[in-house]
Amino acid sequence: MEPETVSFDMFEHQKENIQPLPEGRSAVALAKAFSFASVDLPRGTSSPARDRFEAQLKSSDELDDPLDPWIEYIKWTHETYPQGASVESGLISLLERCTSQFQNASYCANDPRYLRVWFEYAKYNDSPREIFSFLFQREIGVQLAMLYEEYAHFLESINRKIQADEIFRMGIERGARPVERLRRRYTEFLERLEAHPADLNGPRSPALTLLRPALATKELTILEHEQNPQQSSDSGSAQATRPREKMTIFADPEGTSGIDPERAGGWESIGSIAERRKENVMESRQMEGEIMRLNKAPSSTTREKLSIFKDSSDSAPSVFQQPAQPVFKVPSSAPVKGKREEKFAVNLKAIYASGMEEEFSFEELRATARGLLRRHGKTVITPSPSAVVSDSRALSATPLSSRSRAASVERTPMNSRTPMASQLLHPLEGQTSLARQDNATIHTMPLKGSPDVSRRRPASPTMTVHTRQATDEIYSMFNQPLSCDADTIEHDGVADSSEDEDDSEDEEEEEEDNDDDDDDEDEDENDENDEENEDHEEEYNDQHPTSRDANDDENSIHQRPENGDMAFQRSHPEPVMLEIYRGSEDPESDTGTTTSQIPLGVPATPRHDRPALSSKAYGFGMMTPIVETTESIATVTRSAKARHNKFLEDFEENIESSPFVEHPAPRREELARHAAAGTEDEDSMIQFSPIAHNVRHDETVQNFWQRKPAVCEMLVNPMNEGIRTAILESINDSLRSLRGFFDYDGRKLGKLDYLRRAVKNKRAVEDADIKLRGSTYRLLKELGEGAFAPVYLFEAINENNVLENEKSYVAIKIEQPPSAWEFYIMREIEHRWSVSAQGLTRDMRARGLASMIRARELHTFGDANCLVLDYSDQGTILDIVNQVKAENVKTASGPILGLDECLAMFFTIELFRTVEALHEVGILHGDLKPDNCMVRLVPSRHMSSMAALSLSDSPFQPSKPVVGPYSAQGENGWSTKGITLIDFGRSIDMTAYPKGVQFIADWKTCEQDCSEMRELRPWSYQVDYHGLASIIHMMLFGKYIETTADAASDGRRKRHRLAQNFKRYWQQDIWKEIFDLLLNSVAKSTEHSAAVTEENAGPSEKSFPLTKKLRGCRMKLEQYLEEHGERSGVNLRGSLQKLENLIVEKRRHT
Amino acid sequence: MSSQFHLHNSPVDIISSVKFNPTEKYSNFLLASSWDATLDLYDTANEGGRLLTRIDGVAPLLDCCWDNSGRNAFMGGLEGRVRMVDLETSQCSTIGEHEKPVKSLVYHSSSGLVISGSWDKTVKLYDHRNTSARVSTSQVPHKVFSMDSVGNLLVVGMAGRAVHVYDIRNMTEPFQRRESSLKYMTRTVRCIPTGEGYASSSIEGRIAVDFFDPSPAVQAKKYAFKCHRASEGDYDMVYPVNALAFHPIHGTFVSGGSDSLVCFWDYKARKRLRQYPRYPGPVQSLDIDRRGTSVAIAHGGDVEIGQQGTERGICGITIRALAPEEGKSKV
Repeated sequence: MEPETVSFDMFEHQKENIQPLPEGRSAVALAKAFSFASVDLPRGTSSPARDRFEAQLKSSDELDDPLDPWIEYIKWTHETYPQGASVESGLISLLERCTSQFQNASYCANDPRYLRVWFEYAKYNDSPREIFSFLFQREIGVQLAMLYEEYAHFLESINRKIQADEIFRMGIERGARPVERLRRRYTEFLERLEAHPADLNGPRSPALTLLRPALATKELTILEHEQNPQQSSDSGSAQATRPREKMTIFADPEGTSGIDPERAGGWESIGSIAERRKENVMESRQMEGEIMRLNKAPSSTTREKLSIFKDSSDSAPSVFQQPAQPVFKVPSSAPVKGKREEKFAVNLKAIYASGMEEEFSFEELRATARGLLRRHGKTVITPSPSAVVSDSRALSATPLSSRSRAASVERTPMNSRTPMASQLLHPLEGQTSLARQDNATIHTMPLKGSPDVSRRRPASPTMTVHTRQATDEIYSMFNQPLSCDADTIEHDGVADSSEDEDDSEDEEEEEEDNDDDDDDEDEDENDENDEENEDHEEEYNDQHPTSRDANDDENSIHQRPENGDMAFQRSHPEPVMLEIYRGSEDPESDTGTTTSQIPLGVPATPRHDRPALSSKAYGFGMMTPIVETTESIATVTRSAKARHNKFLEDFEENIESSPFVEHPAPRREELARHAAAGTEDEDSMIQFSPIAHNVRHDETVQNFWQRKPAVCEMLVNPMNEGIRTAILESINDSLRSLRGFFDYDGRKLGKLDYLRRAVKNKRAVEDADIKLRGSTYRLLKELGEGAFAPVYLFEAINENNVLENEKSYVAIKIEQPPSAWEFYIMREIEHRWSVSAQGLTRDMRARGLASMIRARELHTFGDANCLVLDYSDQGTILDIVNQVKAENVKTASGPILGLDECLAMFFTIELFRTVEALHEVGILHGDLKPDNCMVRLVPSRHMSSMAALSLSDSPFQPSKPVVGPYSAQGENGWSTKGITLIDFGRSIDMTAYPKGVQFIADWKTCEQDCSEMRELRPWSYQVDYHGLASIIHMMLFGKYIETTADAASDGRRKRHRLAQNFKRYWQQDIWKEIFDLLLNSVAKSTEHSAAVTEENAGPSEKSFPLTKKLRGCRMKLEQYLEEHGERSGVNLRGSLQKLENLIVEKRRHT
Repeated sequence: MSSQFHLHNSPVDIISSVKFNPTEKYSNFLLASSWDATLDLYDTANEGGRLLTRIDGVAPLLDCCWDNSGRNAFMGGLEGRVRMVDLETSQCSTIGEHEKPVKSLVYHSSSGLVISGSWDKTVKLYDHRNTSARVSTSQVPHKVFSMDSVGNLLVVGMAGRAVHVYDIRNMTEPFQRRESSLKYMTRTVRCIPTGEGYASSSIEGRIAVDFFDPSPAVQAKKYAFKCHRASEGDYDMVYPVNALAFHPIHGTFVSGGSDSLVCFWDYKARKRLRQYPRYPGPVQSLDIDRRGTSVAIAHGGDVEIGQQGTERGICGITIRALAPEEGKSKV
């Protein structure tokens, strides 16, 4: 046995190439034969082993056993060429040589080894029977039972059982050894014979030919050919039916045979195989008018196909064999003859929408139709991970009746306006939107609260049908003229320019309006709008310019332009409107208001002198361009030397000296912008258009809310690039003119690799320096990966206007691909907070500004954006909590929870106030979490706190220490403490969307995200509420938030609550209320609306955001802190101090 | 008791799947998953039924199943997660997640494993009693459309007309790779309770009966037949066959099509046993309870009968009582 075992796998792939041998094969030898080492040698080359054997053969005569080297040689050939006889192996010639060598040697005649060689040779012979005859004739092996057995077996296999019987008996008679075995075989044979009796009509020729010298060979050969053309096959009968071509009889040319048959009775030698096939060899002769016949085509078809080897032991039966890569095919729909034509009840086109490669099941189609699943075109691409997510997780409202469930409320969009599904729908260009409408897929959103509608698709014409009516509606959606409250108008009429700001806000209210002849859905909208603005008499009808003209003429009130005009004008597809609006402008009234506001006012420049601003200015309400011009001129002169980081301070001075302290806020920011603009112009680096941001001039928060939505869908993915671009484009002009916005016209920053490398090697490289507008920033370290971009800490090296003597640090967020979104949002927040806002006290706004990180500049390159931010080194809530926890562990001074409860309360108040202020101006932060909220405790070394400076005539002073007990108003220096929100990359500008909009998230969600997002339901303000909850949870428990949902009983909404229980000694009531509010905001809002108002409008969004409730909670916390902040074991100031010390200590370490 | 009744309080949206409780005691409890993202549990013992629990899922559900004890249910749908619901406490827990919606859920009773098949082209096995246990994931070549198991075999019907048969004890390689015997998209596969094979239905009004045994003698027995068709003029209107369910005792099966009809078939005799009167909407899902006393028919659908947005019929569940001999093979 072989010492080593060889796995069958080694030659499994070759098994069909292995010729079976009666004695079996050695696995080791096989493995060797099929290993790479023994790649077949090219033909003709002889291997050393073969040479050796040949040499042995030559000298074999001198051996005692001359047969031995032959046997060895044959064995070697078997092992080396498992595939059997081939040209390479030379097996047949070897066998031939061996048999002929010893055919006359009497010492070999009864050698079983020699006989075996004969047997093998017979196997390769066309007529084995002849071989056997020859053996008998020459008396080779006649004393061996093997010969008889083998011959009988062969005869039996060709169904010549009578002859086989004869042979057996002959062997037994002759006493071939071992005779016992022969007898046994004979009995076995007889048994078989009994089971399958021999065909008595079969050939009866004797098994062994008589000596018939002359024709013996011939006769036998023909007989064999007739009876059994293929020696190994036993299905001779089937062959007989094959039509046969006429056989030409081969005539042996004279003298070619070297053997004289007469001499040895015909059995002198069996000859070689080649010799026996001599009729196949064409005699060579001269080419003389020979016609070379081509093979006829039919001959190839009649040939049997090459049968492919099949593994009989395979577990998978051939019936199931499938191509390795199953190709999906749809049978042709052509009717088969004789069969009834079939028509499909289903839409096959939808099922095989993306060609033949993929099927879409009904469920997929339904989900797609419902907007729950997005189909990515035809190609089965491998999109970016986020796209994958969006594909699989796309979601939207489930259209569903709320028959028995209030729960459905939040799933169903409230607003009944038929939304346009095309995400990229650009509301600014009427034509574009019309064009898109053709191929837009439409989500049909059922009307709220009517089970019938939710069951069936609305039959009423929706946007799906491209009718004239639909077209009109599109027009009306984007061209809604504005109407004023009659109140307002009257007010306007009397209002003189010295009205205070609040009044002007009212005046500037704009309202979405619809034509009366619009269809029902517009009526619905009207209804909604009517709730807010009961009086709704004066209408522009921009579908009919003439009537509008008439309106204007008749109604002198309208000669005072409305804020919203510009917006509508812009979105109107027809330039005619421009004329109309021009007509409605009254320069005098403009000057009237503005001059009174700004003493610096210069006589108005006529409006039409200005470049075509009107058609571009979008959505930012009315502007008084003339005044702006004067302002910017004035400010430029005044602040010519102001650098972009300083101008606010400059303005602070200027403004304080202005007599219009009553309402300078909106102006101040504007002025600041113009100052910046002026400066930039001088630098001539950037083309500023001072006009563009004038648009924002008179804007108030009210305007923002009333602004025409840039996106008209009710269900959107706020992160969608298209949506964002649409929003940004809607303010395109002003984006370029935002303070600190620098566009390098696609020039590349090209530092990204250096930055990455520098961060990796942890040392600053000069190459990684970034030069931005004359300031050089040197990389210090990576601060963190934002949601979309890494943030690096840079040191400003030669900034011209270093505010302090210390080093100046900035955080620069490298956004790749460049997106101006975050910058826009941050500027927008600043702007909205700096103008007056209803419901927001100046204090709140000022403290809000102090509670968010400041964006200094945005540098837009072709490959990336550099968002230069203030650097705050005080740590995020997450850091703080971790520090406190570590400290608690170290000193074992308290339970390993988060912050002290009073601290948590304090920060909660700060958070609430900031978020309230954000929501009030229509901004969702969108990504509130413990690591996006920094604490603001220690007077910062680097923060410029410009906003605070710019607005604070409140007690706010940046660096005052806390000197007294807690004050909700920020007295005693409490306003210097608080939080700083960072990362506005996911923020949402609610004013860019229609009211009641809901969002869907296509990103991977985690426990930190709000339940709606996790559960793939649409959300809006919930995202921030949940974010707040997660921060507060982190502060209280020192852990990430975990919520559980109480199972919804029949018809009731799920209620989320914290998985953790509050500590016994905490103010459980307050906290419970807060978390209940934050985690179940939708439920809260509906409860509210159900209880308070039973209006006919959509219920849920009415009371969103829950600012009032939030405020209620905040008040409770404030009250508690004011009353108990320094009592009965609670020491807010002490806790705060401890925290500050921790921060300072940590800062020292780093 | 009349022979059939509609369940009250059934989901208002399309019902994706109905499953009877596998235990003897509660065999009349019916689980229904719906496109309105709810999983409902009904007691169907009395006329009209009784809504016992309604679990709010988070996204439309595509399938549900029971565990052995009949106390826990599993649901999966567009959300991509497989959730287990303790029906006594209504507590939900996530036991698995797919990248894409979960289309099919099977509970393998002898091993106690939950098997989910998804459009993300994977089949996953979970042990819900030990959620930390390793989840076995098997890649399949196509989106999974329907699965069923019998004995240790799991039949996975996929897009592209592929059918894989797995041995649950070895999910690394399919035990058999087959091609559907039908020409069009597979809708449902259901295993013959005796374990000799499975029936599959397609969108082209055909049902095929296949056998596991690969021997030619057995394979010769496989066949497909036309059903759920309506003759209209000179052509046949063919309706998708959306649902199949075997009778646990008689071994025959019912089929439900988009033509709103339900038929009883004797696959051995290759005969239709009976056809029930038309239901109010395309049949989405069928199940016969453990004792073979009633069949639940979920009806209502839209794409199943043609273009989207068409009349979807009345969504609801009908419970039809089966007489003891009803559906018994005549062979």
